[in-house]
Amino acid sequence: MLKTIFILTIIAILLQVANVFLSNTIASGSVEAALLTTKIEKVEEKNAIIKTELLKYSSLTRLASRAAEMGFVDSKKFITVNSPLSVAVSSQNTQ
Amino acid sequence: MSDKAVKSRIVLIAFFFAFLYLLIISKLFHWQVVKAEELKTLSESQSSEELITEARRGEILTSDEFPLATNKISYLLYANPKLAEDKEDYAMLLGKTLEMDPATISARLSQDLFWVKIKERLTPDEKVKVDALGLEGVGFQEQTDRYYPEASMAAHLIGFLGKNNDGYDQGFFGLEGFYNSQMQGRDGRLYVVKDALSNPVVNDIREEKTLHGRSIKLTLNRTIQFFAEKRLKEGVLKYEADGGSIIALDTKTGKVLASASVPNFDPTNYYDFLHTSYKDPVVSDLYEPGSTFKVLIMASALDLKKITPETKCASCDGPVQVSGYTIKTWNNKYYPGATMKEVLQHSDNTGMVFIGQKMGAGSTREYLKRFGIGEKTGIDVQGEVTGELRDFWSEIDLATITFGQGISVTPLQLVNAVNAIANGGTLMKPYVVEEITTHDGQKITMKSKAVRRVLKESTSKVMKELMVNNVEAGESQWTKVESYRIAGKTGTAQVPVAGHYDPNVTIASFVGFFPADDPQVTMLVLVNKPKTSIYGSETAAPIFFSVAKDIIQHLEIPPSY
Repeated sequence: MLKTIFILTIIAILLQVANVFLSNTIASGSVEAALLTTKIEKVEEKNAIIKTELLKYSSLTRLASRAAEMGFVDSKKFITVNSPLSVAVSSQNTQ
Repeated sequence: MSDKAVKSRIVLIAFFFAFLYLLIISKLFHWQVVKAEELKTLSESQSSEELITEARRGEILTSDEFPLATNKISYLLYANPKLAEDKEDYAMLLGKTLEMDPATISARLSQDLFWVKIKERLTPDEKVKVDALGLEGVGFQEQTDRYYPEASMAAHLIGFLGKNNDGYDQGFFGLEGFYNSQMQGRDGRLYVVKDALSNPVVNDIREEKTLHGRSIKLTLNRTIQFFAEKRLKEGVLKYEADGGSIIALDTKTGKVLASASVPNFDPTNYYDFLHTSYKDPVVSDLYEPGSTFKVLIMASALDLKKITPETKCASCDGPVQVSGYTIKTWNNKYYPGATMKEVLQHSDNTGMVFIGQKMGAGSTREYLKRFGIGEKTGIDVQGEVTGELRDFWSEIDLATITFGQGISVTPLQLVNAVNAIANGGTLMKPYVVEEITTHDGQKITMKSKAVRRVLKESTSKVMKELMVNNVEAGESQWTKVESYRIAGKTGTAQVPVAGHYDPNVTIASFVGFFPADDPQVTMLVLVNKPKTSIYGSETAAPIFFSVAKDIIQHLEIPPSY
């Protein structure tokens, strides 16, 4: 009888310890999760801000106005090559 | 103690307990029925939390994947007036930092509330500056705003994001309107059980996934769009016009490469513009096409073999009388015995009446139907309209329709019809969205769709040559692009004003495609009520050729000769 009570008491104590351990693990996990979530949010926020900046600087509207400010002008004409021209002549043909 | 006294005590105690029960029952009723919802909410708020994750609205990207509409972060600045000790000092500091009137801030802070809004849409830089002030009781709430990196580029086509009657975001006009349900997505919900210290309990989280909106990739070529808008704005200013439009299609597929209209609006500050400026003139405005319409009539007559390029006009020696009306040429010059090639080259109205009479009303109407006149093109933007193709035409109706008066089309209908001549005779369904990306990254690709065959391929070839001749020898030859065979036709349509045509108020236009031997781009330029010259050859044509030059350079199209 005493042996049974002793075993049950030991089991109860072990379960209690396990409960405390698990609760503690979950609580630590929760804190960590909260920290990670905040970190993710911060990184996402930073990324979004950087993306907006990048789009602002790479828009054609902005590039064109900056180019004009810097003195670039539209070329009024373009040259086309109407017939094929040789750009290199083989040594055999030159002889 | 007598029995009576005992009984009365028992009754008294019974009543006392009955009263207690009644009290408990009524209190339970109060808690469990009357206050049930309130207590439930309170308990949930103490032990759990519902986090709403806002769905990101989908982006609108050009063909080079640059967003024309995207989302950006901004901040709402709020304050707790109860924590602001020196409200005047607060107001002065915030006012100076945010360039706001301190009196406005002070008035907000003087309210007997725990939360007041100070300013919306703070930029990240402004947030940093306010943060640096270190004011107590000040906080930020992250917001998402629609952002248009190319400002008003293709504004009519894109539309804008506004608020509906319930205060929620909703897309209006253009693609924001047409694809609203696909782009808006669905907000996600996260139910988190919290521990005593308000940290989330990780193994007890229930989640309704956020469905971010779908992004759409357009057929629009950003460079071509940019040049189209630039040249159009320059042209409208130069010719002192009320406005104008340019629409360019990929000849083979019907993809919209550019769609520009001026005056336009700023989609970010759409509320600063008149409501009438939101609609896209390219799909929502009807106009009488004038001489650009002649190419459709001539192509139809060639296809029916009622004429050949060499057929001589039998009624081109002077003004033509139809049902009591006199029909003249635009410049009052007449070419007796002109061939059909010359009729198109001179944009001769009397020659077109001759063609109309050869075809008859039935065949003409039938061909125009095939060209898509009188029916919507089915393009995927909001607000497309169509003019009516009447069932009954009198003799004068037929005569005027042959030179594009007395019939109305949208710019898109006309360019799409001419595109059928350019691509070998097939009417295509124009489209703007070529790919939709779902929230999980799946890509849905749109394919080009042929509506019907309109002309025989041989007719298309002949018509192309006639249109090339029109550019090489017609009114607009002075402005053509050297070394490239471009097919085109000018138009100078009179505008009906108070029941009659005002000869000095016109819509000048030029429609064409290039390079003529293997067309890649079909384009229409409209100039609305130009003042310096009323003619298409002197206004719309130069704009057309300057954009054509830009496109040729951008697409690296080799010269024709």
